[in-house]
Amino acid sequence: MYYDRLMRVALLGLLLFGCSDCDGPAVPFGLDASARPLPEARPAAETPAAGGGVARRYEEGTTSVDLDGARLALDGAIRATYARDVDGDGHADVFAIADGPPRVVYLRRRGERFEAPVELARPSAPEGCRVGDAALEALGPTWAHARLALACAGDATAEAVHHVVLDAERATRRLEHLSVSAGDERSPGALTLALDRDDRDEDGHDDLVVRATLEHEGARVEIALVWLDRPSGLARQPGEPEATLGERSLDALRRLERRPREALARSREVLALHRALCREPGVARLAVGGVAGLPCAQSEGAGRAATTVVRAHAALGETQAALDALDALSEPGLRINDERRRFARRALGSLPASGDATLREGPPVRVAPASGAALSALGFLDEDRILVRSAPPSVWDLASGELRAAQGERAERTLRDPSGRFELAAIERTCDGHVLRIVASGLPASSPLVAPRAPPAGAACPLAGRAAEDAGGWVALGWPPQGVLTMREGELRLVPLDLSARAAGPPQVLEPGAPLPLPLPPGAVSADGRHVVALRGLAVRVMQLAPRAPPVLLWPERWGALDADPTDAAVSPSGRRVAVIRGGRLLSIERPEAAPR
Amino acid sequence: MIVAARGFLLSRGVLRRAAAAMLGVWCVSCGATTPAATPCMSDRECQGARVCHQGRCMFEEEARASLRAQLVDAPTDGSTRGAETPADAPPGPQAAEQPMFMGGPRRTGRSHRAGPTAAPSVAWVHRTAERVFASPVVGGDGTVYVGSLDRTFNALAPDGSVRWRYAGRDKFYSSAAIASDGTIVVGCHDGSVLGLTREGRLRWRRELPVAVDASPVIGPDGTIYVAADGLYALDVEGNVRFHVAAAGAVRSSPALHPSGLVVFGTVDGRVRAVDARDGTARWEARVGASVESGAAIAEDGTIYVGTDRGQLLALGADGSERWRYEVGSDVRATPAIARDGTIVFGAYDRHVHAVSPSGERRWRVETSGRIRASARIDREGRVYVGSQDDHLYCIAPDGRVLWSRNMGQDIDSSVAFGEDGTLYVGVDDGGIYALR
Repeated sequence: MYYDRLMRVALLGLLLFGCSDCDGPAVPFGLDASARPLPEARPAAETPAAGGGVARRYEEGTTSVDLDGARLALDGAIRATYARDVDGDGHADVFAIADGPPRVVYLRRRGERFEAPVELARPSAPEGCRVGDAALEALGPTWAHARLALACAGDATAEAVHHVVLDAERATRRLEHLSVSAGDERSPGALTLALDRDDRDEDGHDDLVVRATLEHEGARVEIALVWLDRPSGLARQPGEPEATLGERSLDALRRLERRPREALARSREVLALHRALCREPGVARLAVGGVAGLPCAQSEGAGRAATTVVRAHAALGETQAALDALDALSEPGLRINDERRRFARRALGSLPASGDATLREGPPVRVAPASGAALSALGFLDEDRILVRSAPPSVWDLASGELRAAQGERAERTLRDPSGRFELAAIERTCDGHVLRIVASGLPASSPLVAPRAPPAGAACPLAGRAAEDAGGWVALGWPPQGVLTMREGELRLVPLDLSARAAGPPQVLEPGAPLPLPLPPGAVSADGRHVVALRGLAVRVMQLAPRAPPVLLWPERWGALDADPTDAAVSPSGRRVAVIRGGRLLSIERPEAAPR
Repeated sequence: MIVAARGFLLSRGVLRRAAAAMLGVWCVSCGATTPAATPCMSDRECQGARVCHQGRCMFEEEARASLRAQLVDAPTDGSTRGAETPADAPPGPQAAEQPMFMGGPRRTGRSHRAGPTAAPSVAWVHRTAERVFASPVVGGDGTVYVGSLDRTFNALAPDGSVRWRYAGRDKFYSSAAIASDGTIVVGCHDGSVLGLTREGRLRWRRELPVAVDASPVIGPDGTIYVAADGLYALDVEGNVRFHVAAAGAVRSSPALHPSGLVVFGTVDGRVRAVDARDGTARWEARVGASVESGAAIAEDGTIYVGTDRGQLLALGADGSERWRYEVGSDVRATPAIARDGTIVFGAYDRHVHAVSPSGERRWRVETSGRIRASARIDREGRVYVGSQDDHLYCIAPDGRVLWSRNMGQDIDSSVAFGEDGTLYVGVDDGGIYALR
C-alpha cells in the first residue's frame, strides 16, 4: 500500500515537472507543450487532451501542418488532429479529421514523417457537403472521440453531426460511429449527443455512455444510451430507449385525469424521442454505424404515449387534434393493445360536435366490401337522393326517409373507361410504387403509376417484381376521359391515360383547388367536381375545390360514440350533405348553409 | 343504307360517288397544287364507320359537311377556281366556317352563321375559376370548346351542361382547332399541344420547349401548324414534321395563305412566310415592331396584320408592303375581313376600326376600353367584338352600333356563333357565356 502511494506521487511529479525540460520527443501521455505549428498551419486551437496527447483544431483551408517536426499533409483540408503516441515508439502518432471528402484518418509516425493515412470513418454525405465544425479529443485514457458537423450547401436535410469513437490504443479500430441528422416536421426538435465513459456493468472496463438530449416544444428530454465494452467491441445495452420511453409515458398517463395538458406535453415528448431514436417509425435521426435508428421493435412506451395523446386531446375538447392523434395510432413501431386502443377511441365519444353538423340515421344496407379500385357504394343523384350501389341497387330519399328500388340509375361500382373496353381491377403496390391494374376482357392491359415508391435510400424491394394487394390508402373516384382520378387522404391525383389505357405521362398531382376533370360519377366527389369528401379513420372532411375553401371537419353529436369506421362516403352537389355507411347502416351528415370551420 | 347522324339517309355508294366527283373537281381546280399523299384509296381501307373521302378516312358526317361546303363554294358559272384549295376558297354568301380560331385557316373571322340582331340575354353561363382568354370554337354537333386560365379545357353542350373537362397542367390561352377526323387540337401554356378526341380522351400530346399560347391552324391535308419557339408543323398524330425557329416565343396565331404559305408574326418585328409543306422560308417582312396579332388573309391573297407600333399592315403575297394604316396604339387582335373586303379590328386605342382594302378608314367606333379581342363577322356582315370596357358590341356593316351588352368584366375572347344564332364568348370573370 505504501509503495503504491509512493509510486503515484512519483508519477505525478514526473508528469508535472519532469517533462518541461525534456529535449527529446514528447513523452507518452505528457503534455506536448513544445508543439508549435508552423505559421502556414494556422491552428485554430490547441488543447491538452484529458486522456493525454494534444488536440488541435484548424481553420478551413489548412492543407498541411507541422506536428512536432513532422509535416502532415492530406488530400483536402485538415480540420482537427489529435496527436498521441499510440504505438509506444516515443513519437506522437496522429488521428485527423480531414475534409474533401469528410473523413477520419489515422497516421502512424515513423521518425520525421508520417506513414500513409488509414481511413477509420467516412461519413456518408452528398457531394457538396463539407466539414463545418470539427474536434478530436481523448475519451478516457484509451479512446478518442472525433466530432464532425457536416454543412451541406442548399440541402439542409443532409446536414448531420457525426461522432466517431476510436480505439486510441489500437489505432486502426473504429469502435462506433453515431450520427444525428437535422430534424424536420415529422421528427421535430433539436437532438444532440454527448459522449462519456463509465463502467456501467462494473467489469473494470469503461463503457460508452451516450447522452441523447432532445429539446422539443420548450421541454428537454435526456436519455442515456449505453454501449458496453466487450472484448469483441462495443455492444449496446438493449434496455434503452424503451425503459425511458415506458417510464415517461407512465408518468404522462398518471397526469391524464387531473392535468391533461401536462399529460399531453409529456406524451408528445415521448413520441418525439421515439421518432428521433427508433428505426421503426421510419424517421429516425440517430444513426448507428450508418444505419438509421435503433432497433426498438414495437414500443409499448411510445404506444402508451400515443393513446394518451388521443385521450388528452379529447379531454381538452380538441376534436381535430384528437382525430389526427387517433390516425397516428396506426404508425409503425407502436405497441398498443386492444384495451388501450378501445380507451382511446372511447375518449372520442366525449368530443363536442364540430361544424354544426347534424347526424341522421338511415335504413340498414348491405353492400359488398370493395377495394380502393371500386367506386363508393353511395352517390348523390341530387341534393336529396342517394344512390346505393348495392345488389339490387336502391335509392335513399332523404326527404321521405325511404329506401326504394333504383329505377334505371347506373349502379355499377367497377370503373370503366369511356369506351367501356377497359376496367380498373385493382390498385396495387409494386416495386415501382402504387399502380392501377387495368384489364381488358379480364386480361392485363396496363399498370400506370399512381404514386412512385419512396423507400429510404438503398432499401431493397421485397416484392421482387410481384404486386401486393395494398392500395396504400389510394381510392379511385372516377374515370373521366382524361384518365383515372384517385385520392388519398384528400390528395387528388390524376393518372392520365391514352386511348389504350396506357399512361399518357406521369401522374398529375392536382393542386388544392384545381378543377377536376369531368365527367365524374357521383360518389366521394360530387358529379360537378366541386366537392370532395375524404375519410380518415373516423374523421369526415369535406373540401370545396371551386372556388377553393378550407376543408370542413364534420363531427356531429354522438359521432365518436358509434362503433365501426365509416366507409363509402359520398358528398352532395352543394357539399352540405355527406352520406356514409357505418356499421351496416346508412348515415347522413348535414351542415347548415354557411358552415363554420 | 346508312342512317346519317342528322336523320337523313345516305347510301355509302352515293357518298362515295359524290366524293369521287368532288375529288375530280378538286384535282381539276387545283392544277399543280395537288393535295398531299393520301392515306386511303377506298372505304375498305378505313376503319369502323369511316369512309374514304378526298383521299382521307373520315366519318360520314364530316364528309357530308365537307361536300356541303364545297358545293356552296363551287362557282356557279362552271369556271374553275384557279390555284385555290377548298379551305382557301373565297367563301360565298354562306361558306361554312371551320371550327378554329377566326373561323378558318385564313383567319378572316367570317361566319356563315348569323348572330343576334338585338341585345341578347344570357342563356347560360359556365363558370370557370379564372379568366377566359381563349375564344370558343363550336364543333359540328354544337359542342362549345374553350380553355380557361384555370387550367381547364371545357367541352360544353349547347344547353350549357359539361360534356367533359380536361384538367391541364397549365393555363389555356390558345383557342382550339378541330381536325377533319374530329381531333380537337389545343395548345397549353405548359408547352404542350394536345390532340383530344370528341369524347375528351387524349389521342396524343406533343411537348414543345416553350408555352403554346397562340391558336393552332389546321391545313387542308390535316397538317397542324403551331406557334411556340417558332413554327411547328405536326402531322395528324402530333409528330413534328418540321420546325422553323424564331427569335423568342411566337404569340401570333399562324394563318394559311392560298399560295401554300404559313404566315405568322414574331416578337422581333417580322412577318414571316414559310412553305406549308416543308417550312422553307419564302419571305419575311420587317415591320419594325413586335407582332402579336395573327395575320388575316383576304380573297385576293393580301395579308393584313397588326403591330405593337399601332399599325395595320397590308402585305402582298410576296411580302411586299402595300400600305400601312396608323392607329397609334397596339394592334394585337387578328383583323377580320368582311365579304366586301373591309378589314375590321379593335386596338389598344379603344376603337374598332374598319378600313377599306385600299387602306382608307371606312368607319370607327369608340369604346371605353382597350380592345384585345379579335372581331368576328356574321353572315349578314355584322361585327361582334368585345372590349376591355366590359361590353360586347354588335356593329352594323356601316359602323352603326346595333347593340352593346355589359358583361361585367373585360372581354378578351372572340365570339363564336352557334348554328341557332347563339353567341358564345369568354369573359374575364371566368364565365363562358351563351347569349341569345
